[in-house]
Amino acid sequence: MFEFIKKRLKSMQNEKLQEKNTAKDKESKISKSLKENLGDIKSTVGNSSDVIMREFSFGHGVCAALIFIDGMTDKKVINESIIEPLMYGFKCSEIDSPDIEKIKLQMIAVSEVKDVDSMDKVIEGFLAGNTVLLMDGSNKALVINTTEWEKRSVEEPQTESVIRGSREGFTENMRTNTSLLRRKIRNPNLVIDKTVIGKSTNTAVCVVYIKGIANTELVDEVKSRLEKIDTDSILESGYIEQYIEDAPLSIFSTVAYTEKPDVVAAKILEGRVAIIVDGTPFVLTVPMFFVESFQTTEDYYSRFYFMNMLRIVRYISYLITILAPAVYVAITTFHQELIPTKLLFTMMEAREGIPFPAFIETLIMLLAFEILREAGVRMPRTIGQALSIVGALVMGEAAVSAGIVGAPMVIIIAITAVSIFNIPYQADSAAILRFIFLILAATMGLYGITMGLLGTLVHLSSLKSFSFPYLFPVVPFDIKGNKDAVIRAPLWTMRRRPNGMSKKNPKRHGNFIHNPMQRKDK
Amino acid sequence: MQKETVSGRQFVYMIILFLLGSSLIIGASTKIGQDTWIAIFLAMLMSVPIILIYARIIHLFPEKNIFDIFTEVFGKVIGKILTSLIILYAIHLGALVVRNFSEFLQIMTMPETPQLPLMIGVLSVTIFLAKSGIEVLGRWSAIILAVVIFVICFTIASSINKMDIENFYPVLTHNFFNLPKDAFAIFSFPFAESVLFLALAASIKKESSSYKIYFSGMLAGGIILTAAVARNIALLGAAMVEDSYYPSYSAIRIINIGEFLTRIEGFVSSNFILTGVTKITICVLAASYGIKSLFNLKSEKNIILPVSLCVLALCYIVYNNTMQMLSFNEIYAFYAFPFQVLIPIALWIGCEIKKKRL
Repeated sequence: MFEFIKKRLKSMQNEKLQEKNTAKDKESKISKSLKENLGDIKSTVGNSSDVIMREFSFGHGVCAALIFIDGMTDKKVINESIIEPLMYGFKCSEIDSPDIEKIKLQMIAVSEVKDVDSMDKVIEGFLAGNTVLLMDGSNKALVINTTEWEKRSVEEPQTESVIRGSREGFTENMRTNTSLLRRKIRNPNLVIDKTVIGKSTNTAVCVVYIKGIANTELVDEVKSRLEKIDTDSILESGYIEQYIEDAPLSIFSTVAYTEKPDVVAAKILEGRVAIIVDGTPFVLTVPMFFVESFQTTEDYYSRFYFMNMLRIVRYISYLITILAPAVYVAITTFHQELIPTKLLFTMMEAREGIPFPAFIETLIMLLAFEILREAGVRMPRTIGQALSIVGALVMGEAAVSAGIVGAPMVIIIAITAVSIFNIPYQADSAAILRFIFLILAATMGLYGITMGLLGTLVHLSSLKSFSFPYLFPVVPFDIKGNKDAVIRAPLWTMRRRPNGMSKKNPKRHGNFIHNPMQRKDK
Repeated sequence: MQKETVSGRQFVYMIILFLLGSSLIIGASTKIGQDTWIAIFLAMLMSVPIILIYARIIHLFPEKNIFDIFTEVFGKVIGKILTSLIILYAIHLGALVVRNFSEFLQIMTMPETPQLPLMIGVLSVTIFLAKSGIEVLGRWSAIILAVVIFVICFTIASSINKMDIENFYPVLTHNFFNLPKDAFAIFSFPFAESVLFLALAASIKKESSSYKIYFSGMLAGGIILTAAVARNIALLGAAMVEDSYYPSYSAIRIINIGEFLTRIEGFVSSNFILTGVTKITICVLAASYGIKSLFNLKSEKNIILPVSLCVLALCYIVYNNTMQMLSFNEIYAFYAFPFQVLIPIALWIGCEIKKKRL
């Protein structure tokens, strides 16, 4: 049985290889006849109304055609920098043969021009927003960069707001995004390596890293995983994430994402690799560690005492958000002796007359919260107010006064719901964990919760992200990494990058130890 | 598949947790009351030669586990017999720990719950952990050890006002022969149980020294155990330590800080759960490695579930009640002697002869 499946898989792989080979052979050349070429393109793109083919002649009867897509190109550039010099420029009378090199060098007044000789490159070129110049009698074509389309401007990201720090966010346009990064890291070693993924969408994907800081094995691994993606569409970086992650069946994500250029800059300066996907403001960074979910940019921008307190608050919120309902159910159902007597009386009084057991009560309220949260994201903005009234008053106040749920329950759900927003990166895993722990608590009490926690810990320690343990730097213990894990040490003490992240260039600071505490010029 | 390796430091953590295993709760409950801590030191001293032998065996045959060494030294037939003996010991030890664990939970926290669900709960975590492999076990140990040490330090610090140094006096007034006897009991449980690490030795990273691993593990484990025992004696006094089944648990009940931090004995049971799970996992893994080499299997991963089920079945039938468990603890030292001392010594002699001939 297994043998059969194996054989089948092997033969499928062979077929794929053969397909690739034949596809390479077919790669058609540009023919010398302009008519043939235009016919080829027409048959490929069909009757698309936005593909414009402008035929004209210049010099001493050289026939040519410009092909571009309306809406993706800058017409002004085409008119003034391509057509005008060719037809009316002072050198145009000298042109008597379709000499592509001469035209490229002397006639086209556009900054970025490439010559190509295959039909596929031509089609790829104008589909990406370039203008293609084909000439009768030449088997080469010029791809002229005239890209210009409607795009969103750089705005403050909606999902990650900050009090202090840069307010720029990535946009859907890849070039804007790379420029935002370049502006942050003006370093010749910043490599922005572009590939194209997706057979139908031909989405541009950039691998960004700093040469000399990022480990070459890591970069190679990222590139090889990207190469292995064999799909027809990449619409968002989430597609890439799900294809390259180490543990696709885990509830924990092993690839980090962000909308902020300063976050990406900080991460690639630590030796990580970023993946920018055209068409989405969300940029991926790998490897991801569990502690990263608890870090924000402001941890580093503000002074460290207060930010350490906030970081510890974040860890506590995480525990609350996954455990609070479960512990409430376990204690009220199985371990009433753990509650101080006075509190027990108050709680019992509040629960008096509630028709459901604590587990069902919690389940109803958690479900209601998840419904409200989802509705809050999906609803049209204009009816937001109505929803918040329904949510706050009906679900909370009315449910309690009607005696369907107890008041302590509402408090528990409220704190659970608020805590999740402190750690947005773990929000999805926490929502699932919460239900798992709730069920364990309802069946086995605190013992069940303990077993669940241990199981989670086993799972977490078995995870890896691009061959780095997910729980790094806690295990394997790394003192340099721990300066930025549970607590954040002052910036000037973090002299080295986390161990292993950068083998070639582990130092952040120079040899001169800049310690503000020992400054002489006081 | 790449071979799983564990760094020397993580191996030390595993040994410490293994030693603390169930002994942190039930172990070291002896007849000599306030002198138990001396017995622990004596037991550590007694275990030095045997641990030297374990480390020597690993040193002579690096990157091999005890089962491979058996066949290499004694040939196929005797090797397989010894392998099956060690497998039986590992499964039995795992079953004993699970039973200790479930008895403890039933007596202390859930008197009306039958033991089977408790056993299934702990074994399901164990299976998950063992299936994730020894590398994950190493990483897990690093975290768990931090938690365990934190809990012990915290309980000592928060109970310091209730401690009474008088509880340690008078020193050495018990029957003189009881001291070595109890030391021997502590030697066999938990120190010499670390014989099972010979079964996992193949995963130690090559560059780390086996002597260093074994000794630092034993030393740290012994010191932590002594600290816990000394805490119990200081809090409870000799008479109560002798009387209670679970002295650590009883000791922590006393803690009361400002009427707020009270009844934190759950902390101690968390310690027991954490170390217990590690110990059971190591037993299950050792048995699985053994079965793997006994039947020349490709991987031990598929064996873990059946082995764990064996452990479950065995721990369910091994005792009828708690009293039987406690009385077995008294003769355990003699039962375990062949596995802990005789077989390793035989193996060591065989190893030395084999190496000389080569």
